[in-house]
Order: sequence, then structure tokens, then C-alpha cells
Amino acid sequence: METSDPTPPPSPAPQDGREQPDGRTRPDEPSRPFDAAFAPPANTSWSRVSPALAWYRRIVVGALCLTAGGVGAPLLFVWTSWPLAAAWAGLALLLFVAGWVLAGLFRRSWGYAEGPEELYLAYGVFVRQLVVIPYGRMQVVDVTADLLEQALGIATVRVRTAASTADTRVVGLPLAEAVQMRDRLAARSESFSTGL
Amino acid sequence: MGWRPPSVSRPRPEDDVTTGVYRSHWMIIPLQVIAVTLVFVALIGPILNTFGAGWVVMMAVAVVFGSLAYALPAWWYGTFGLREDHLVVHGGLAMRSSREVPLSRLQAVDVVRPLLMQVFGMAELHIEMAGGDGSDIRLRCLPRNLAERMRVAVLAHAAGLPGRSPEAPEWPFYRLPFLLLLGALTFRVPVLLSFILLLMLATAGAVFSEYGVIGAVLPLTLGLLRYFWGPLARYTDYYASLSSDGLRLRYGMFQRRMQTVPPGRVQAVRVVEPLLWRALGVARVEANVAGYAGARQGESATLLPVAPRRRAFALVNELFPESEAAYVPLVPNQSPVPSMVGVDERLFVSTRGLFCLVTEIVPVERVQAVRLVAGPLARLTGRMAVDVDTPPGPVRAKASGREAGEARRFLDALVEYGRRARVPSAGTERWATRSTLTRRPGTAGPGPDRPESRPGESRRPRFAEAGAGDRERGGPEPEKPESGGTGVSDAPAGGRAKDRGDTPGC
Repeated sequence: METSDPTPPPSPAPQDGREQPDGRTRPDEPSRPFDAAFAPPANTSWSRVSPALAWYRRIVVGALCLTAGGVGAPLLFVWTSWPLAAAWAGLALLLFVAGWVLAGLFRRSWGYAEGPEELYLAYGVFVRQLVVIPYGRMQVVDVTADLLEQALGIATVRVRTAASTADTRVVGLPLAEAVQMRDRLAARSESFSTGL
Repeated sequence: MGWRPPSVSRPRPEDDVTTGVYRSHWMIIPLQVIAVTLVFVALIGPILNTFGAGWVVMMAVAVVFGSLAYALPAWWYGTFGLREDHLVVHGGLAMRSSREVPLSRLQAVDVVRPLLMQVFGMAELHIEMAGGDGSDIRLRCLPRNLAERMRVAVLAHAAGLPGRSPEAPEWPFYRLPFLLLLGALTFRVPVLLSFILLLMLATAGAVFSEYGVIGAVLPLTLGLLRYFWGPLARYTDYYASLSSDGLRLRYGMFQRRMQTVPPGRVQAVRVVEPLLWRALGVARVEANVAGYAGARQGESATLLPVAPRRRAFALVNELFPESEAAYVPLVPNQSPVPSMVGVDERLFVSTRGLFCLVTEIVPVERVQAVRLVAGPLARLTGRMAVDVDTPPGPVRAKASGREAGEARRFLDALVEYGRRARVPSAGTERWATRSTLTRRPGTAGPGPDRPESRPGESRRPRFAEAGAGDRERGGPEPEKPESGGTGVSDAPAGGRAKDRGDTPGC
């Protein structure tokens, strides 16, 4: 298929995500080219985020569905008939189950890897993305944690570049790890800095 | 070219703007007072008039004094001045503000003279910083020569020179003839269609004395005003020149602008060739500059409104020295939306569009982030896109519809080339203190600031002989040994960017 390869790979980067140079094979990486495209960079593997991220999403979805179902269904029961109320409650339950499953999938889709000069992120269930941010391009690195994140002990590291489209974050890191990562990234962005 | 060198005014000692404190011309006070009073009379006047004309006069006088009471101290306290290579701007009345701006970080400097300001001999100085919307500095209503000298001093400081250095000499690059501008702006499909429709409607309205056509004529006229008359008035008398301070643009009929984009501040460029323009062989060049955020994007992002194609690509080569967009090997994709992309060690180039051909060029060292995006359908089609993130602007470079393996290799290559191209010592601040931009043939060699000089650097110095530039470059030339050239030798079927106009389907 590759009669017209635009870019002879300048480095011996692995084209296939399964085989690592150190001989490890990761059984969880399928061999399809689609998934191979989202393989981690050479000599690294994806660092996965905390399972608390899935619980964060589940709590949010659960609270929303509970509110919608718990308020909507009785109101519908009072005003109209019970089949409508039951359908509404069923819909809320369905959404809750879907959200529950998706939260797990989303958590597992997340991965980050700190390369020698770039930060790699991979995430997304429906729209999968692999984002590469050179350390020298990072303008702001900060750690945020909202109330629920604080309760679960996780935090979000946000990285901003001069491109406003690149809202790049690492979500669901344990707080201590997030702080360490922020310090590492900030130090590297300083040492690789090339101006705008 | 009917161009004469502009008369260079040597700075006299008393014209020294590097010290002292300045403020806007006092003329700004009556202008503000008159404007506020007129708005007040126009809006509130009719209501007050029901009580009697005396009320209108009385309230207007009150507004005059009220606005004067605000404008006078605001003018007096709104001062600015240079402190070494920082610009200090004081402003505000109720909430005093004081900004100190490191000029080495500036992204662009514009001198703008709207019609009213021209009448009074005034000018505005816009200093664009990288902080996005609201980070720019606007010094309004300056005497014209103060604005000009301030611009020179600001640019000198930004270049790392003392503020008293004279203005850098410039080489003419391109003067846009009015007839070409008029012809090119007319010769576009939407404009032509609108003209024809307008004529038909007017004829129909006149023949059948049907006044309902006004409902359609009005939006058409407004659209033509916006997309035909707007650029026409804006880019009349357009003149671009190159200097060691970067690209200088002067244009405008009613609003004269003088724009300076320092070297290395252009983050990405695109060359736009609408369908009919390709027959004329002309193109438009737009750029992403970090300072031009928000509303100023549309105003200032266009570097060449209409220029011969060859000139347009010559400008790209001037903006990104030591690289050649035409030599980047391009590869077409196999998706229904045609696009071609290529990357070499300096530039990312992509072309797309069936009718309106858009060539986007991003230097790999200025790429902010690279992302590989696979949408919901990507699992079925197996095609994904590589987005190249740059500071906001008209250029949104991406390689769409690529196969998974190809996309990943492309991303890896982009990352690798970017890694090699980003040299920490080669930032763009204080460009005059760096040897690379002022290299002359005799002194062509690695400067003290560039320990690693790349092979094949014996090309012509960047800003010298810019006028004759495209003649030697534009013609059919043999393969030049490019620097490095890993991706050049095995150029595939897609061809070179220069031949793109002839490839079928584009």
C-alpha cells in the first residue's frame, strides 16, 4: 500500500505498537493498523490514569440521571400516565448504564507518555486522538482539581500552548503525581524553550 | 517598477523618543467630547425634544462639560514612554493601570491612520503582543511623526539595537497595481454572480416597475460592499517591502496602514487561489501571526491581497528562509476530498480544495502541537487526519483522509523534524543581534549564535537583492541540492508544489 510514502521515518520509530525494543510484548495492544497508529512512542508505554477517573465520571452521570429520573418520573406520573413515567425512568436508567460503561472505556482509553522532548497523550472513545506537544512549546502548565476530584484524590494537569485550539489536559492523575508531573513539565518547558 | 526610495529622515537630536514621557495629542479631547455629545444628541435628543428645544441644548451643554471633565484628566494621565527596551504605558482614570511591556516579545507593529486622523495629521500606533485578544497596546491620536519615530524606536529595541538607531533600510518587494486589484477582486465567482444578479434584478425592477426587488437588491448590495468594495478600498495603493526588521506593508485608501511583521513572527502561511484567479495566475497570501488575535485577524492577517503566484511563493520563501516550499515532496490522499501533504525538515506543506486551491505552509519548528484524530467513522474507513496546531489565524493546517499507518508515520516524521528544527538558541527575540538574518555572501558562514550550521547554507542571503529574487528563483530551475534532502530524492507522483497548478483535479 505504501507506494507513496511521504515521510521516510527519520528515526527507527516502531511502526507497530506490539513489539517493544526491549522485547516486551503487550498483549492488550491489538495488531490492527488502526490501533497501531495510536501506539506509544518508541521505548515508552502508555502510563494509564487512575481508576478514580472512571468513578468521577460515573458519579457525575449517576447524579445527573438520578436527578432527571427522580424528578421527571414522579412529575410525569402525576401529570400524565404511568407508562410515560416508566419510559422516562427507563430512559434515565439506560443513559446511566451507558454512561457507566463509557466511563470505564474512557478511563482505559487515556494514556500519556513523556518522551525525551515531547509529551504524548492518547484519549477518546468515539473520537480517538493522539496529541504530541513539544515541551518547548508549553506556555502554561497548571494543576486543577474541583471538589469531586479532590474528594476522589485526583487532579487534572492542563498544558497550554500558543495555539488556542490545543486544549490539552491529563485528567485523573493522583494529586501527588499531578504535582510532580507539573513540576517536571514546567522544568522541561523552561529548558527546551525556544520562544514563541 | 515605478518605485523611488522613500526619503529617509535622519533622526535629529531633539527627535529622540527613547527618553521622556509622551501622551496623545490634545486634539483627542475635543474629538472625544464632540463624539460623545453627537451620540447623546442623536439618541436622547428626540426624547428630550418633546419637552422643548431648551432642554436639548441644556442637556447637551451638560454632557459637553461632563465628558470634558473625564477626557481632560484621562488625557493628562494617559502617558507612555520607553524605559530601556520596555514600553511603559499608564492609563485609566478611575482605575489607574500601568503596563510595562518587554519589547523583545512584540509580534507586530502597525501604524494606522484612519481618515479623520489623516485630516488632522494624526496616527495610531498598535503594538501587538502574543497574549491574544486584549494584549495589544493601542496608542491613539499621536502626532504622525511621533508615531513614526516611536515605531522605529520600538522596532529597534525589539531587534536588540539601541533605540536611537535609524530605521532599517528596505528593499521593494511588490507594488500592487490598482487595475490588477480591481480586476482580481471583480474576477471571482461570487462577485460576478452577484453583479449579474444585481443587474438582472435592477432591470426587472425597472421594466416591471416592481419595487419588491429592493428586498433582494439590498442584501446583494451590502454583500458587495463587504466583499468587493471593502477589500478594494482597503488594499488600494498596496506596497510591500522587505527590511531587516521584517516585512513592511503599506496600504489603504481611506485608512492608511503601515504594518511591520518582524522576522520569525509569522507562524504559518497560506496561499489561496480561487477558481478564476488561477486563470489569471494570481493568489492571495494570508498568515497566522500570534499578535493578530480576535477581531484583528481579519484586518491584518492578509500579507498580499493579490499578487502573481510566483510573487506569492517568493514571499513565502522570504518569510521562511533557508527553506523552499516548492521542494517539499507532496503526496496525494485517496479520499474523495483531494488534498496533498508533505513535510521536509523545515516545512509542512499541504494543499487542498477542489475549486479554491489552498496551500498551507507551516515551518515545523513553529508547530505548537500535532494531533492524530480518528473520528467515529475512522474504524470503518480506516482514514484519519493529522492536525497541525498553530496560533490562531486563517491557517488551519491538517492532513486529512490518510490511512492509519501513513498518518502515524507522518506524525512521527513531523515530530522528529520539529525536534531537530527547534534550536533553543535560535529564538526570534532581538533578531538584529543574530548573525543569520544579516548574512552577506562574503560572510556566509555559521554565526556565533548558531553553532550548528546546516549543510547547503550557501544560498543567497535572505534579505539582500530581494527585488530580483523571484526572477532567479521562479523560472524552471534544475534540482538544487537541498539541505539534507532526505525526503526529496524519492519524490512520488504528487510532484512539486510549483507544478501543482497543472495537476488534474486540482
